[in-house]
Order: sequence, then C-alpha cells, then structure tokens
Amino acid sequence: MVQLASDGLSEGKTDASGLVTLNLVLAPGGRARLLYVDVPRDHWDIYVQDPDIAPGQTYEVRAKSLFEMPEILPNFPAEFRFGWGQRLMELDRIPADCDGAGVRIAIIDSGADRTHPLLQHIQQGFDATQDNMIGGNWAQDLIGHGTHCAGIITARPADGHAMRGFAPAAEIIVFKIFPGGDFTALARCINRCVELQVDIVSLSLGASVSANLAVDQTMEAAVRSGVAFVVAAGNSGSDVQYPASSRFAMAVAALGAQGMFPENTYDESTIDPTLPMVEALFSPNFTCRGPQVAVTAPGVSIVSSWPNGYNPDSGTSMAAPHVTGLAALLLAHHPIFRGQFRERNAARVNALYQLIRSISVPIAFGADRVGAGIPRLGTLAATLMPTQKQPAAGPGQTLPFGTSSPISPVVLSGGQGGVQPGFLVPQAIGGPIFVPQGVGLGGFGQNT
Amino acid sequence: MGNFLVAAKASDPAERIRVIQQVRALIDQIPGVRLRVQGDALDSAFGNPPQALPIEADEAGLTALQNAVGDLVAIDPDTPLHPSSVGSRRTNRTKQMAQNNTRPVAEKKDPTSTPTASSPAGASSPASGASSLPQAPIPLKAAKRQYLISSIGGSTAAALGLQSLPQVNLRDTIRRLDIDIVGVVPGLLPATLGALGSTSGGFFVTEIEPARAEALRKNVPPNIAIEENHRLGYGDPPMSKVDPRTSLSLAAAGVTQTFPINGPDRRERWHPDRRCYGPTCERWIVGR
Repeated sequence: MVQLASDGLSEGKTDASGLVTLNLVLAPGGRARLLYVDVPRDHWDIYVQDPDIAPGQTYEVRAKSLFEMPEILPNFPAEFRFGWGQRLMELDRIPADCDGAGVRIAIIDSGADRTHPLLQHIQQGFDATQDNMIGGNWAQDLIGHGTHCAGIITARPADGHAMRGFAPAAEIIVFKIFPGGDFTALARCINRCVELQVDIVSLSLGASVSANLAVDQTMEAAVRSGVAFVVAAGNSGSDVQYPASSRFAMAVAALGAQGMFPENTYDESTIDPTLPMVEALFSPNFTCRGPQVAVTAPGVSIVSSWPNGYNPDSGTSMAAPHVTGLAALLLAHHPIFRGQFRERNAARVNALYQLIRSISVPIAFGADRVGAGIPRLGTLAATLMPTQKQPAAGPGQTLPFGTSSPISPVVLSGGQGGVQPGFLVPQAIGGPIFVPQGVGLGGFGQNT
Repeated sequence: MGNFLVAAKASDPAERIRVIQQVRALIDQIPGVRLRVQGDALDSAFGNPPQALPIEADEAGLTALQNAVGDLVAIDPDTPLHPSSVGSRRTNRTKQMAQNNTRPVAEKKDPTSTPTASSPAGASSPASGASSLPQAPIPLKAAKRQYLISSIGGSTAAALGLQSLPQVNLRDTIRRLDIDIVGVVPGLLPATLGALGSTSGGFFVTEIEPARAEALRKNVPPNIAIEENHRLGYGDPPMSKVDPRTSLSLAAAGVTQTFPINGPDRRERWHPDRRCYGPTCERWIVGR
C-alpha cells in the first residue's frame, strides 16, 4: 500500500512489477508533502517527508528488509539473540537460566499467533472479543500487535539461538481484547486474571481519559491479590493515558536509539529535533509524559514476532512488554520475592514496582518523560537466583522455595521523629532500597 | 406469575453467599417458583457465585418461599430488564431486537408499578398494557452511550469517608432510575481475591443519553460513580506536526477506515484498523 499526501491524498497498491501510479491533485505551486509505504512484515516501512516527486516521472523507493540490515540486526533471524532494547536493559548480562519460570503473565492485547516458531509454547488464552470469553480464537491475531508484544516478553527459540524474550519460561495467558476492546472488556479480563492468579498483566493499550473509577477499583482489587500491572503510557505525545495513569499501574514511556532503524522510516520521524539526545538515545515525540511515568524502556523500531514473520514496530506498546518481561525475571529470580515478599498481596506488587525503579538508570530527558529512568538488569546478575521450576503461589500462599531471604529487618527514623519498620533489600546499585512493611496503596507504581 | 429478586439480608458477604446458595437449592423444591436465569448467565449477571437470585413465582410459591426462608432474605418485586441485560455484551442480534422493539428501553413502565412478565415479547406486546404504552413506536435514541455505574469502594471510598454500596443495592438503584443495564462486570469474592478485607464491587454497564448521564452524575449519592465507557486503543501514532492548514479529502480526523492490504507475496493481508490521525488527517499509520 502506497500513500501520497499533499492537499489531497492518493493511495494505491503496487502491481506485480512493484509499480503504482498515484494521481494527486495539487494546488498551483503545490508539491507532495508525504510519502508513506506500508510494507507488511519483515520490512521497515517507508516514510518520506517532502519527497522529490515530479509529475509523470517514476519515483523509486525500496523497503529495507529485516534480513539484509546486518548493521542493525546481525544474523537475523537464525542467530539473532537480543534486540537493541533487550541489550540496553542488559538481558544479555544475566544467567541464561534466569528465564522467568514460575511466573504467570497475562498479555491483554490483540491475541497472539502461537503458530509462530517463537511462541509455540503459549498454551492458554481467552478471546475477550466474544461474549463471556467463550469461543472465538485467541491465537488468531488479526492485528499483529499482541503477537509482537508476546515476542518481546516470552519469545522462546526452539534451538536456543534465535531471538529470546525476557521470560521464555514464564507461563503466558493471552487475552484477546482487540479489535473492539473497551473498559468493560478490560475489567472482565482483569477479574479473570485474579481468578487465574496471574502475577503480571501487560497492557499495551489505553484511552485518552484521565481516569476511570470502575476500572480502577477492579485494578485495586487485583493489586491487593498480588497482580501487578505494567502499562504503556500512550503515544499521543501528551498526558499519560488511562489505565497507565492509574496509581495501581506502572506506567512505561518509550525510548528510541538512533541507528537502530534505516533512514526514511516512520521510526526516524519520531526523533524530535528540539529534544536532546543522550548517547544516541532519544525520547520519541510520541511518548506520553507526566508524573505518572514510572520508567522508560525501548519503544522505537523494536523487532519482534509478527503473524507469519517478524516486524519492526514502535510505541509505548513495545516499551511496556520490555518492563513486563523484566518484572517477570525479578519476580522469579530476585531473593526478596522468595522471602518477605513471596506472598501474593499488595506489598509484593509494590515491592516489585519499587525494585524496578531502584534498578533504573536516570537519563536526562526529564522525569515526566522517563520517570526513574531505564531499568537495567546487569547489576543484579549476581543477585538473581535461577529457579527450581515451581508454580506461582496462590492467593495468600507462599512459594515453596527453599532459599532463605537475605533481607534484614530494620527500623528507620521517620521524618517527624517517628519510626517506620521495614526491610532493607540489598541492591547492587544505588545502595539498598527501603520497602516499607505493610505498605499501603498510596503512590502505587508512580514516580514519587 | 410475577418476577422477584431474592437478596440475603446478612451484612457479611460470605454469609450472604451461603444464604443465597441455600435458597437456590430450596427453589427447586417449591412448586410455583423457578429461577429466571440459569448457569453462566446467572453468574455473569449476579456474581459468581450469585449474590442475588432472579425468580419467577406465583402467589402460592412466593408464600411458600417466604415461609421457608423467614427473615434471612428480602424478596422484592423485580422489573423487567432488556433481553441483553443478561450477558456481557450487546450483540448485533440483540441490537436488532432492541431496534425492532416498539417500546424502547428508555420507555419502560413505571418501576413502582406491579411487575409483569419479563419476556421480550411481553414487553413489546401492546396487549400487555396498552394504556401505559406510547401510542406510536419510538425509535431508540441514537445518542445513547455506554456508561459504567459503580459503587465507590476500596481505598477511594476509605479516603473519601464513603460507605460502599452492595452490588444488589446498586442494581436496584439503577433500575429505580430507569436506566438500561446492558451488562454486568461482577465483583470478585474475598475468597478469590485472597487478601483479607479485600472486596471488588464490580459495576454495571448501562446505556444513557449523555445529557441525562450528566444530570444523573450530579444527583446520585456520592458513593455512586457514573463514567463513560471508552474504547481502548492499542497504540496511537504520534501527534501531528504537519501544518494544520493541510487538509486531506479522504476522511475526517479520527475516522477509522478499513482497507485490504497486499503483502509482498501478493496475498491480501488484512489490517482491521487503519486510522487517520492528527487534526487534519495527514498521517496514516497502520497498527501502531
């Protein structure tokens, strides 16, 4: 599909030879302002602003294939292990057997194509586009978005060489909510997540409203039963969308890296020249911002699974699954979740949110754009503990891990001379974090 | 025969459920009383397990039931609901049913009047109460939108010093306001939630004209929230930075259009959502 825009819009499909003739009506002296070519899967799209197109002449563009860009995707896909986002978050620096086993993740999105070679281990799902989630086909992803997010979180190569998601051994439950999802369907999915004792819900979705109490109360009940929410901040370039703005969610903004996409792509257009760039990283123009942003994660030109192939995609939708996957690794392998915070409750969720923030490296784009910064796993490499394969704990239950917790009880002096009991959790960077005992729900998940 | 709603009086949620389960078993043994909704539909509309029971009973059956349960439950008249109120989402078929109904949902009879049969046929039949019905068919108002009605609970209620309203009471309140319930998201039970003291109230999905919803918001008790249901997006593309004077002719901003798209292999590939973005529709992005 090719589209050409000026004062009007013309679009068409290329023929067998790759040609398309577009008739664009131009005002006197006018010229084409934008050329957009959508090339389904395995290619970057083409996005040229002010193309040098003259009437009657052939203008040639060529989409870049994922398989022929070794400077961006070396040895893709057979020997390509980690995407740029996963490397930035240092997934490649932790032991390979830290794989998220024992953690249950729900992906509420457009379904997930489990015929994809990297997603064939996904066994469970619900089609929430159907009444009462009965029938339908959660594995039929008409959009591709959910399949893409699933790959970031849990891609599991059969031969151990191709692209790996953050938590390939986590148990994944797919909820297909698109096309057509709304708050009601979301709340139903969340309730089902509680019933299924899901540990982390990944939400790459949102609506441009500030809050919704009915959904918020559903989320609060879920958090109290130990369900964490990692939510995309939104791509409207304005205020954080809902439910990312909920105090029960961890809102994730997007980050881009120059050099990780070809020229003349949509991804390139997300660089805002008025914003600074730090070591080739940039805060893309679309990412939503505000005090609710907890952390930032890679979200521009993220290559992941797609129905019948692979695709690069951009958005906070891609950033959130990075944090979901990282959260699964922490929940499965960090000692605090085998000790004090192993029971499914709000304190465990809050400890998870706090831990993610505590391992985040600040980046100078402003807290409203990046929150605490980029969560990185490398400094925890020696702390994370590969698991015996154990199921996740049920409500009020504890995991039967045999390891003792390295957490030391302490009493800290409060600001008003009071004392606050809690626990010091050893951290490799930034000193220990303090997780209050019996933590409440105020300020949950937010960049406080 | 009349329609009634059976609700336990106990304040403890676990006790309410226990009582309702007993009543449910009892109903099967009393002639002249039957459940109007069964199975998943009952769970969907009244919680799982149900926290209230919609029944149909004749006079003798009702008396027998009242004698059997004594003071444990309240049995109140139930006004008929729209057919789509049982179930999660209004299907095309039920939409059509609603549109074909000569008595629109918004024109239900006075809820304080004696209840009658709740079947769709009964509700739409002129013979079932012609004097109280409009003389001519009134089409459904197209301007109706979905609103979520919930009782404020959890930490929000605690912070505001509000008392949460049980779901059964909330449902009664909604019905008294003559609001169309088109779906229910039941609350979760403490046993499911796992945490001591946890509750999840659930909410009702309703259809109301926006102006009326706004008026209701100002008049309902402070522990009831009325909020518009919203479509969720799976990722909007960035805001426009193109000259706003540019205008494209194909569609207005925000319009979703559907196109078949061919892949490099010449096979058609389907993108359900293709949106035109920005104030002047200058960007067309697929699947972002």
